[in-house]
Amino acid sequence: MQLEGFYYDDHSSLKTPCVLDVSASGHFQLPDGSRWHWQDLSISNRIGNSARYLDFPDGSRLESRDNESIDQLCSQFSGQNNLIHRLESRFRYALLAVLITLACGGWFVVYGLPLIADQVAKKLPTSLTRELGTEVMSLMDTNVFSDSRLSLKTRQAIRDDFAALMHQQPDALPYQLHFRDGGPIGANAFALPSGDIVITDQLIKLADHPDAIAGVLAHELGHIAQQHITRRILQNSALPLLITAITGDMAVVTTVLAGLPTLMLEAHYSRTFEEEADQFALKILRAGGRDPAHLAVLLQSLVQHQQNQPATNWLSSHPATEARVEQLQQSGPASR
Amino acid sequence: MTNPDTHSTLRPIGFRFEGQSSEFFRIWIVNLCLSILTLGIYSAWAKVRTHQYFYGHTTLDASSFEYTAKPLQILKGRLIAVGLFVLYQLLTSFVPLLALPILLAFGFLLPWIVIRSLQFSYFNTRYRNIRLGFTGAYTPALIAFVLLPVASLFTAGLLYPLAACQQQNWRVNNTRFGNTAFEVKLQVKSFYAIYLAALLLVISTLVIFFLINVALPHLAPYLIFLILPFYSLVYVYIKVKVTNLTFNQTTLGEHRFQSQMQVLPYLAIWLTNTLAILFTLGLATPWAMIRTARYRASCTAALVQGDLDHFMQAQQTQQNALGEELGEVLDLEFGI
Repeated sequence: MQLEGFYYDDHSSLKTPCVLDVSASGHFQLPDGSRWHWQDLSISNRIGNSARYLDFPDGSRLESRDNESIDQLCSQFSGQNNLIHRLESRFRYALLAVLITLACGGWFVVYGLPLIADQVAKKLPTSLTRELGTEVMSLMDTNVFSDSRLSLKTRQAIRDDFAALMHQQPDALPYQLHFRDGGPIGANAFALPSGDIVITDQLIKLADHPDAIAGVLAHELGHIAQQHITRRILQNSALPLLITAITGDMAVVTTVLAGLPTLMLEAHYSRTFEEEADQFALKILRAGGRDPAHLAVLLQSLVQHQQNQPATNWLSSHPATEARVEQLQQSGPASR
Repeated sequence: MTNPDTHSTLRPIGFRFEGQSSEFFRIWIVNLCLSILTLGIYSAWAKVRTHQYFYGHTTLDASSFEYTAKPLQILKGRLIAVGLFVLYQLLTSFVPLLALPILLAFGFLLPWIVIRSLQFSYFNTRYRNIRLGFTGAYTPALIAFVLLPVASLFTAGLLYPLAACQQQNWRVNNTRFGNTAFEVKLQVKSFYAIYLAALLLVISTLVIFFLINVALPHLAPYLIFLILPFYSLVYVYIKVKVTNLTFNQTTLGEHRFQSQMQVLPYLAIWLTNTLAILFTLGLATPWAMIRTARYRASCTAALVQGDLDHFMQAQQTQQNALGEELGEVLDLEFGI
């Protein structure tokens, strides 16, 4: 069999056109007169139809584009494995690969990553999450909040009410309540992984029933109980890494690509967390014989309030408010 | 500049890229699918096959380029690099105070990463049996990649073109083909001219946006769709001008190079690539990569004096892949 290509010696770029005449037994002679057998060669992998390199033991090599002949000689004399190339050369395998990739990718971002983040969050030392909580708290206190202007009596009433509600729970969850003036962030509440729950005066004033405030606090406690913030940090920091890894070395698109789908997925994760926290709050409210409908009313006034004051965002990362309101109302007033 | 007498004897030989989208799509999707199914292990093999596809289908004077990195080596480097990156993400997410010390340490590590990355990828690039090589030292890299960019931060970017110029000069002048050195003397003023034009582009864009906002307020919400094209225009402009400038001034022994990329055609490729990738969930990535490579090769030529037969191999030792993989994880881009 004849193999056309370019022959190079081991030390220079001198290119010699050459025809390698491989005998039926696999022997051939190089332009420098030396004789070899096909098994003495090391041959580069086939990738598409790019040129192959045949390395001879003396450091010289042959560059040839005659892929079909080389494959045939390989299967005849050296039994080189071409499995990957066969996978790459049929459209039906490509289609199968597309389906597997989309299915795995979809499963991973919707279920896999949250599962991993959940497991990792459980194993993280509590000192780490406590430190994060303390840092965020002091950061918010210096930059955003000012002291609460509610009377001590009002604050104590809310504390007592929520403590009474939580007292009926089988497992005690440690938490600390903080009252603050929301300043630029207005009517708002949030939870930190350290167990700190912050609720602003503005949100309390908006509530027209103690059960609504208890509902908000229970929702925030849900975030703490289910380690949502830690899980969210884990998931969101893994995502860009993942997307960059999948799209490969192409810097052309990573900026845009890592941007849009990441945003969409992060919104999806955050909706899931809010739903979980709502469920948690519902359970607690019902167990304590409170009416979840008051939380629904508070949600609705928040929507109206938000239209007047765009900076408010207890709602922005939350599921569509109508859906939440509906769910809270349907679940009826308490466990009768 | 070149003197016309020597120019007349230079023979232009164009680079050619012969990859096909449909062929590369199958390779790409099989790579991706196997990488997923093997939990990322195969990604090292995928990287080698992808690089080899592009190198192998790029030819100059009928000889192709060759990527010779070994997958196992890449896998090792990649595992360490990803581990370090995950550690970094976790540390900075949970202990934000560590971000500054890590950043400082990273500043001193960066030149090392750049050098090792270039050494690895050049050592594994072969053309006509001759390897590329890289001989850059730490201190000039520290100046060009860390000190000057940091200084440019404190001078409102005034020093940035100087940094970009030093980076290119350092990179090209330390690159060898066998034992022949590439040489270039890029002038700082050319870089200032390019970045000044880019700045004017940015300013005129802002002015246009402002005028639309004032004169046609009902169109203002649609301006967001213009941000990507304008951002890309500036990026592509700098990339095209710097690439052309560098290639056109680079010599390799008696040979020269020529690059005739144009801003608008490249921008059109870039934008259609981005849109196609976004709207196909990434499935158009191989098509985008192929047409980018084809355009870039079609604009590039070697101006050959005599023939390319007289380069000699140099003594080199293989590098490990950690620097290269760190560079890749961090999305650093150094390719020619």
